[in-house]
Amino acid sequence: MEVDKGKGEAEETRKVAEADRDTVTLKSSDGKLFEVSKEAAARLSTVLAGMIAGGSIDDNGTDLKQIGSEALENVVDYCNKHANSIPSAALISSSISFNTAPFKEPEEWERKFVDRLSHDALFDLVEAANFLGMERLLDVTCHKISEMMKGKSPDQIREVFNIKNDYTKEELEEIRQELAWAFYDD
Amino acid sequence: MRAPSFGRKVPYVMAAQAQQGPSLTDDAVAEILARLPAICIARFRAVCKAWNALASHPSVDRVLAARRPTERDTTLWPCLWWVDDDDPRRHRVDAARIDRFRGRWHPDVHRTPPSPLAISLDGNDMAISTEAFRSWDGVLCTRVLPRRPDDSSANGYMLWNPLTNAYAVVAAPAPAGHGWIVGGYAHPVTGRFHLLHATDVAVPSDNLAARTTVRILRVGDVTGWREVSLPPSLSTMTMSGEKDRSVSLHGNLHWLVEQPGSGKKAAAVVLVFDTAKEQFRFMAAPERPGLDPTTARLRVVPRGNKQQLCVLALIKQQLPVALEVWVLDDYSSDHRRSWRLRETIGLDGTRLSRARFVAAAAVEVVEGVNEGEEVFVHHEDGIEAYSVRSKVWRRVSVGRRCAALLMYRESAIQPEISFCKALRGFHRGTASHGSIWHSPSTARPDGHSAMPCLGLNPGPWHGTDNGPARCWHGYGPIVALAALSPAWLPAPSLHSVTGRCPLTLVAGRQVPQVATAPSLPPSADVSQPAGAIVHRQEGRRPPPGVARRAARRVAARRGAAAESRQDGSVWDLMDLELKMKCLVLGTTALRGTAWLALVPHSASAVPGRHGPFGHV
Repeated sequence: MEVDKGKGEAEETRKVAEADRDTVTLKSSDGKLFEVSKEAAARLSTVLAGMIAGGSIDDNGTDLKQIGSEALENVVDYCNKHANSIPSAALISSSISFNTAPFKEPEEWERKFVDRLSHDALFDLVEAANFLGMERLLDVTCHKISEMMKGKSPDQIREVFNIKNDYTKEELEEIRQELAWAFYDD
Repeated sequence: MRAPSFGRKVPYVMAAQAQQGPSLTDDAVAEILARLPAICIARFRAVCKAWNALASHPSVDRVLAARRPTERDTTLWPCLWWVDDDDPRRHRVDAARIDRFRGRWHPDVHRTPPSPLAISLDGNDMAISTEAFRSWDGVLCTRVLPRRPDDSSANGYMLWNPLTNAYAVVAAPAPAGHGWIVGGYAHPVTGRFHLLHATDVAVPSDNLAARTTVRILRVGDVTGWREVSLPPSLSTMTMSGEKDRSVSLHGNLHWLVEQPGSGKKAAAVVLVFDTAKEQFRFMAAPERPGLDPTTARLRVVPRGNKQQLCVLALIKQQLPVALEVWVLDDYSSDHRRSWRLRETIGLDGTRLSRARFVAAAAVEVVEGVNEGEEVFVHHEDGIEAYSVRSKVWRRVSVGRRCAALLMYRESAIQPEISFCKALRGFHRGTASHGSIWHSPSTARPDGHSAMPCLGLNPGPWHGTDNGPARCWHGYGPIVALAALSPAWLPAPSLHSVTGRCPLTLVAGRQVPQVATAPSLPPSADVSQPAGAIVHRQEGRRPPPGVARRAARRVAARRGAAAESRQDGSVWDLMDLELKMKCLVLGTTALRGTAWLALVPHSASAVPGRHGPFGHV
């Protein structure tokens, strides 16, 4: 009985998935499932587009082992917001010119989207965007990080990013001399 | 290479997990770094070894090369350079100025301050030729000409990296006055700058094309120019005028030349110079009947994240006259098939004729911020720009004194583009005269601009981080350094930088009459103790040799200096520091050779003298 019931449920989900074809289910490294509209996923992520076109999308959740649930949630969130933010008529032209168009400043909602993220979440999102080939999201997140970094000294950067200084004193001095032009302000 | 890991601040319990937790891959860090201004990238090399490796890593290079210009931080500069001269036709000037063309496509023309770059040779025997400014890998190159016609030793080429202000002059290969620079590149591995020079020995009459000799120079090498062999089939080639400028892509230089042995049909072929192997080879050009290699232009266009070779050509015997734009989609595979006709641009409504296009001083393809790609044609009558996106020609209005249009792309990946010994300049007698940035146009806020001034390159990055560009120009000529006097120094309000003063001024005796002169007479012997010596105090490692000698001199004069130090107030010192930095940048980008830069520029005008430090 138990087994039958399980089968039935599986069939049911498959039916649902077949009927509901405009979404894809993504599975994070820790096994959480997220749904995202197929259209948005294909448009925003070259990797997902390839998977959808190649038929390697698993209805029970496409495994994305490299991406944690938190980051994936953000990715999905971004996809949904992106889908909502642009009227669909403009989508086609924007996606065509996307590769050649110069980087545009993040829009208001994108700015808000990355502003609310913690550093860690932001870094994870960069990785996820990079992994999924989401150019725009990568642009937006990297832009945010680079904005954070601008005007900071190496010391501040180490502090913010919690990086260990693995230079010896001499090495550091040497590199600073070599790059003297970059250190007017210190 | 190990992926650099952004360490995380994590609760203690999670520390173990975080250690193996996600870290940013090289790609991601490269993406982030590439979005920073060049100066930040350079600065962050001091963060940790992994970042240092990454900032010099080709992946950042690639990202940067492909970076699309953003509003405030534009790597791709269509530059207009013009000359500080009433009569540009003279073709030789004391100072050349370059401004970013902020024209129509710059998003905020009116609020962005101009960022003029300027260079001048402050020597007495050389003038800058304005005929052919070229740019490769972020280095601008032009010819320098002797002021006296009989002085052939002053024939040479000037190299200038506006990003670091590094500057060098190299002698032209003998016989002087023949040939021209056809290419330049920073070596992909060492970063050492190289120049390619071509001559066809005299008589370039129509049918008697002489054999072309191509020479290469590792800038700064004592060995000088050496010949590289062209492909045997290509003993002569016509590389002259604006067309001789090669374009670099994927570490190779490219020219569009006539296919050897093609007879009267004049088929085109792309000549490629592999900078790593130092070898020439051929590559297929677009197979288009009527494509005339002598008039078509080979350029590089940005395409998404990549760059592509592109040929702009007017097709012979075809009416109406139209400009065809061919692009090479796949650089690595079969070129014959990869060339694709991307655009056909009609010339209706422009003042461009076939003859004008052929004679055009510059044909460039740039990618703007808002308006997408544009084709610029600078002909005798002005500049015409075609927007690929909106498919319309427009005239670009520029000042009358505009001399030329130049594509300049900052090369931030290689802040260490090296000119090696050529930079030290003072070794070479007539080869160089120190470096001065003469920027008469950049008036200080207090209106104090009557004096010829020099200054730090107020380049693009100063304005990127902390608001508007700081006014760092407005210093007197560097001779003021050699003969310091308060009368010379600009008002202390110039900058409010305090608390950084790694320099001590150790002045020799004061020489007021020199101090008030607008410049040092060439005969003045500045190698005598009139010169001030600036001494770095902090525990920086002094460059060997130079520092030892300098230190000896400093020690020898310390007694006298202590008395004359009353002028060494804080702002003097700061100014001096900036000047010194300015000089450091100007004369050497090499590690540790900063001291040389302190030599007054006019020192080499003194026969047999090479600055106060002697031969170093």
